[in-house]
Amino acid sequence: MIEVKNVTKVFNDTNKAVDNISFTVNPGEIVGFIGPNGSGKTTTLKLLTGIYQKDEGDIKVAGYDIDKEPLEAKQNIGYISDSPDMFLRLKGIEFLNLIADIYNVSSTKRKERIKTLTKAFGLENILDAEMISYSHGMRQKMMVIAALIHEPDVWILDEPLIGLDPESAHQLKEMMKDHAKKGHAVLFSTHVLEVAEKLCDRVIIIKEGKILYQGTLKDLKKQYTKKDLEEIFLRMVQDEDV
Amino acid sequence: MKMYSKLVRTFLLSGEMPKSEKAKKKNFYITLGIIATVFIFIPCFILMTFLVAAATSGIKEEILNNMAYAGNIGNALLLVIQFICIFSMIFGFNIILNTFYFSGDIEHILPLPIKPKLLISSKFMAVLISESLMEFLFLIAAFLGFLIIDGVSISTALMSLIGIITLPILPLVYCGIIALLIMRFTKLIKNKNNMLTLVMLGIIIIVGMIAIGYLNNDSITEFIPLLAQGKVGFLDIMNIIFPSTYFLVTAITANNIFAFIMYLLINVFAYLIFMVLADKIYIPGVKRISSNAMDNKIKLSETIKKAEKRNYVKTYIEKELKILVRTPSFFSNCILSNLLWPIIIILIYLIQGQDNVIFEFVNHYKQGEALGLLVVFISIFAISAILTTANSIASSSISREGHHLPFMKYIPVEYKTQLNIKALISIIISFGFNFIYLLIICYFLEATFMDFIVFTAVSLLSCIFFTYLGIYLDTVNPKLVWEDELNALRGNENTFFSMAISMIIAVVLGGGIYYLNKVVLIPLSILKGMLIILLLMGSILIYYKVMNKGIKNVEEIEI
Repeated sequence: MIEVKNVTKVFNDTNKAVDNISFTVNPGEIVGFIGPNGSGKTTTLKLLTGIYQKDEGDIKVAGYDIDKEPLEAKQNIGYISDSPDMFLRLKGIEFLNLIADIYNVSSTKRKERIKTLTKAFGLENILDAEMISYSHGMRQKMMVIAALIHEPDVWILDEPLIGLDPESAHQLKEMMKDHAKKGHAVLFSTHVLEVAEKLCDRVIIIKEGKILYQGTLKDLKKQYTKKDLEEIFLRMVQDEDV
Repeated sequence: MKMYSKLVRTFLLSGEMPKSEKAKKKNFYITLGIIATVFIFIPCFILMTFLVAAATSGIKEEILNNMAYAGNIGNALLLVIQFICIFSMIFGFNIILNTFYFSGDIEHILPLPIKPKLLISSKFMAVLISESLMEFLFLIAAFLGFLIIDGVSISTALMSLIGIITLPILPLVYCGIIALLIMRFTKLIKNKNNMLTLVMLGIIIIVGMIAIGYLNNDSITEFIPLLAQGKVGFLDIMNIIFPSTYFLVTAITANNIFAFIMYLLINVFAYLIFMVLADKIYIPGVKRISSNAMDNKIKLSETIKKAEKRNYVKTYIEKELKILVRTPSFFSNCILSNLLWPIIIILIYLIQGQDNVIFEFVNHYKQGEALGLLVVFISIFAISAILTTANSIASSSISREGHHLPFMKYIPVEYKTQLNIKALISIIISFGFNFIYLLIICYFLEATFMDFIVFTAVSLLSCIFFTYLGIYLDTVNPKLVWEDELNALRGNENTFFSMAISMIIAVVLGGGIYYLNKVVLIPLSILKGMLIILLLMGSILIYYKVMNKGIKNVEEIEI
């Protein structure tokens, strides 16, 4: 579903934000993207969605090359960015209609999806208000609903749980599991190792644009004597520094 | 003091337009900067200097005839700086309100252990510096024009210099006090809703009415003697509203140090009142802004009825329009500003009285003279060009996206479609206003139907050309990092550059058509056709530039 081969991204001719990385996310998988701040997680996700242009390598999403067939690739992506403050002058319903129209969602389908998703996140009665009056958490929930309204095959989520209340976070995690069960793919970045541990089939650990590890957490734990994931993560990052 | 200067620098930097790192873009921007300086700053400076010098010279002549008026030598300068103060208030109110209450830094700074006084004074200084740069240019020109005629000594030069720097304080203090009171004691402006725009519109209408009311019926030939006699009602009213201006001009004209001290004292006093008031009511006012207040709670069963499929292009157009209309800073700068032009033209018309140039050309046109038609023709092109560029809808179309810009990139909609939608919005609004003005102009000109069609074509093509030009400039170096929406437009050089280019093209085309008609003797009917073809070709060329290089520029933007 997602294929990344030898991708490099350089900012301002000198700063290698992503350095020759390769990975895949297969159908039915939830993959967690883990790394310290500034490690290249968001840059990689932005490369996958076509927001940034890569300098080297190949990216395919849902079988489509993001450079050669960008519209087809984007049509299959549900993306949540790292900032939920988007088009705050629009009403919730206007924003959802905009996204649904862009992704060509039928009236019946969007009604059904809006009903299900707003109920799941507790936003049923506020859709007629401008989003500027929403709290940060409500805006984040709107971004989740908007990203999922067209039922995309591939979910690319940048820190999707930040700002969500425990109930909504639980809902979203359940949705991610359901989505993977249906044979689709989920790639999401997170700082919370416990979330990755509970949710992910595989993890990709990235630091300074380079992948330090990719595989299951089970295999990772086998490589280290210590059992705690946090300690393993810290040790991996520190080993690299040495 | 160190903290104060650090805060001022931080606030100033947050409003600055980032410079491109790429050498090619840098050079492009330096070239545009030079063009803008040569074609906007220098002509404005010379015009202002000349205006004040000519009026002061006229007053001087009147004084020679009647020494009783000797004290009024500075009245032309006084009138000009009072107008500058009015404009400073009109534009300053929105900026003060945004900087003090709606800037993105507020929620980060408030929890810091910074005294409210320090925060307020540094924000005020940042507004004063950033807002007064253009004002300084006009003030320097006005003082220069006056001093050229009246002579200059070290003391007058020194007082003028201090005056130029400190004159914007009083109008901004007024704006600050009004903003403090509104935000603390009323619920007029909440969540930056359109009430802010209505307050601004109210100020513009009131000031416009005062100006028109007091300047009415004073023809240019009568105006100078009236100025010399000090019999201009507008000056009297403004001397009460801005007393500091009167004392400054008196200090300079009479070399009166006591008047100058009075001028300084008024400014200090006004600033102190503002600071004391701000210290008491600023923070409570900020806390009153409730960003979480939900205006509309409607059941899902009702709202869901609106979830109907439509063509995405229509929805995208609606989204652009809604954001323009619902964001007060965008609404006032991009839409309401289009209403300013007729007010300015009416003001010029009224100041000039019966023997005015506009009236003369109207008569030339009505009598079927080529010169009249030529001037009207070029004016319609120039007005359409300046209106389209000055409202900045096109030249800020990418900048206004700010940190939403990635949205344009990850949705499955071609850049071509998105840029054309942005262009369409600019063309609809700019041409909409132009067309209304065109109807009024044609009514007064008693234009033939054929002329009306030609004027409409010129106006439309002018809007299209300058819209795509503005969009292209904004793809080269958009201002995407801003704290509040006003900052997307404020200090956005792309608007400035497209205005400069529109002025150059208007001058070159106007001069060219005049030359071809008067010297080469090509009939106007042919020249009209040539201009339309030229504009059409220009529009096609710039369209292709946007669709190729412009799209590439958007692809390369990384935020």
